[in-house]
Amino acid sequence: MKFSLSSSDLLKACQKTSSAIGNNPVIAILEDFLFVIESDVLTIVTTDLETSIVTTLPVMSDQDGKIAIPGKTLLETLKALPEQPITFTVNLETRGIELTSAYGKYRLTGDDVEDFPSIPQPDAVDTINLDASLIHQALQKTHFATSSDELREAMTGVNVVIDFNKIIFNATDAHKLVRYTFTDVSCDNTASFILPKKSLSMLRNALPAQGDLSIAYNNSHAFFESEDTKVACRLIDAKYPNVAGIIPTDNPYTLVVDRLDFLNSIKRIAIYANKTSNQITLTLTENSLTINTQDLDFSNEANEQLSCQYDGEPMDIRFNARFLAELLAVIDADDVQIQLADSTKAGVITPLTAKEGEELLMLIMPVMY
Amino acid sequence: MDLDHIIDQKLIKQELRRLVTEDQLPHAILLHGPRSNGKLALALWLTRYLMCDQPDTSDACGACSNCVKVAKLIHPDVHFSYPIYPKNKEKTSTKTFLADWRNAIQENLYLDINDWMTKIGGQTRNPNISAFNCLEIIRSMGLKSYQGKHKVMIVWMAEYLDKDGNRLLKLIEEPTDGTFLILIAEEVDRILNTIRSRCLQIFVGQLTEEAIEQYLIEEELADKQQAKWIAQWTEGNINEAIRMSTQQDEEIHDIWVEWMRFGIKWSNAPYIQWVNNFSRLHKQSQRMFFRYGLLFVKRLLHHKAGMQKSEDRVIEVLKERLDWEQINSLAALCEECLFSLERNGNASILMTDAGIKLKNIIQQNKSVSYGM
Repeated sequence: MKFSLSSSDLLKACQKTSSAIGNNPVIAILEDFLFVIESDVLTIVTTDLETSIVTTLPVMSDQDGKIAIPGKTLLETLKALPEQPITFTVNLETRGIELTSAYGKYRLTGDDVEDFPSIPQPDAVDTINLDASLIHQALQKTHFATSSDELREAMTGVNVVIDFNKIIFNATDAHKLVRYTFTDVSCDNTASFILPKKSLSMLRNALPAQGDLSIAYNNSHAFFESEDTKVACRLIDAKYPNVAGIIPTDNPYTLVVDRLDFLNSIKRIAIYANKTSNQITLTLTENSLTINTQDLDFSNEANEQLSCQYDGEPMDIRFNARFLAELLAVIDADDVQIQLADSTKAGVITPLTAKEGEELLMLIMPVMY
Repeated sequence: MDLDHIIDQKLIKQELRRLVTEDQLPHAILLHGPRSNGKLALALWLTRYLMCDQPDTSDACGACSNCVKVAKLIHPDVHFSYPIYPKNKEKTSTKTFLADWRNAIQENLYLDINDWMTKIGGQTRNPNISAFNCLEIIRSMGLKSYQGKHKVMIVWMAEYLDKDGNRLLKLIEEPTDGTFLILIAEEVDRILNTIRSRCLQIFVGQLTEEAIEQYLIEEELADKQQAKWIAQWTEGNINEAIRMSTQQDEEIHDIWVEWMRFGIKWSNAPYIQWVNNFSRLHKQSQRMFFRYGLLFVKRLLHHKAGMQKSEDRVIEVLKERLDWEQINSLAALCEECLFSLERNGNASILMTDAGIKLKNIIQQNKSVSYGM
């Protein structure tokens, strides 16, 4: 089997898929790129058994065939070659591979294709079409809120709920929660699955920033397919906690504050907070917000005052500064609204003006003292 | 690895087959029984049966890609956990030894814990499945299965879980659909009660002499006569039987008889010469020597009690010459030497000492031994 293509095209495709090649995988062949050639189309497949990435590109070939090529060797060779046409000559029986560039020849041995795990395929025909940028946005807004507690498997991922005309992304680590909804989609049924945290970053790497994207799923995987790239993510096998039940519905008091001012203020104050608890106190009186902190171990102290709108009972409420800053950082709106009930109940953070077709709701638990 | 020809455990295979075909297989199974009687082989056989694309009512097809991958131990939905020792750092992953594990199983499906620890260079270390390894088990079972069918976790030598096994309780008690946990253990008493009570316990009995004999002949490891002889000596331990058949144990038998002769008729210089030769043997063979010795003693006891008739002249002689107490001391001596050898004792020093002790045991005045 012989095929040729541009080295930089191949490098780009290999780099895109190489994020699913892990170090020291459980099966040796997972260190390889699987090359499948079928009627002048080269399909490159990689998998770490959790996330599988498949990408295609056109080539010139003389026959169809499959070969598994050691990933590291190929990738380093391609990186070291300037842009030029290259030719692969593969002996499918001995699995000998010869790579010809303008400079010379490189020979390496491939692995047995039979050992490569078959790449999962969606069996449900239901697909949801949307713009890739929406997925990127949703992942960016939710992935940081996932937990790393391995004993609570469900919360280590982002829960995706498909509900007829909307898709909801949930992430929580029991201290904070993010619920991101977009309503601009059409779909015929409902589903819920949990994407593992590790897959999320690979997904963001492999998918194009913009363009059409379709999502499909079966009982073990979720599939994201763009024009030339497919990503299959293995799902977490657990039941996600009931998010709707956690979100308080009757928080009577509302604080509205400029997001950037608030965020910057928290960042400054946090420097003086106790390093283990990161605790800061918001003191709310009518239309006045004071942020202060105290670290008794080092006699550090800081406080700042911000202008805001607040119409409720005066109260002191304590939050973890790091969590609060993380949440505020992913909001796009200029002003944020925080709904509170009392100093022991969760605060609900929403942007004051939401974008059309999307809804963002965040929840943060106060720190008890 | 050939899962079509594993050592015969017909009855259990039949029962497992019934559970699978009737869709009644519980999600947690504990296979326990004496050392090296094919429990791991059974577990792998069962796994292949579960994973096969086109199983019939008796066995997996053995040809589909799932079957091939299970046999090669590279199936993405089949996970393993086994005792290891901390290498370089405290939290050593089972993955560190995964390549060794695959090799070891491919070489010998009936290996025991000593073989395994020797294989990974931890003869002198305590094998353990640590809390970190338990987390790894939970983590690997936390995702949905790769191929959307079953996922299987095989925990070999589950008694080494110790108290850390508590971490697995939730997984064992409430696994998600299609999850199977197969625990394999020799000493079931060492597994936490809380784990045992959550599993279907299947006792895998000792292999019969006929089964071993047949296996050795079928696998062309020994000729008919040799197979019979080995099967009698190894008492249901297929691992030992395979080792004996590949290590020319006629020779070990001869060395053992020589040693016994020294016990009866002692002479200094030839004995030192004999010890020199012995210390040149391979470490494995030296251990084999004492394992063989223990089997010999057991046999001797059987004969003395009149349970079996012997064709072996050495046994006939010793049977008359030694009393119960002396045979007992001989067994203790073998055990002591085996213990020292496994901890890298120096063979020449050990054997010189053991020879003198042997002489004292065999030549001791009977009235003195009773007076002790």
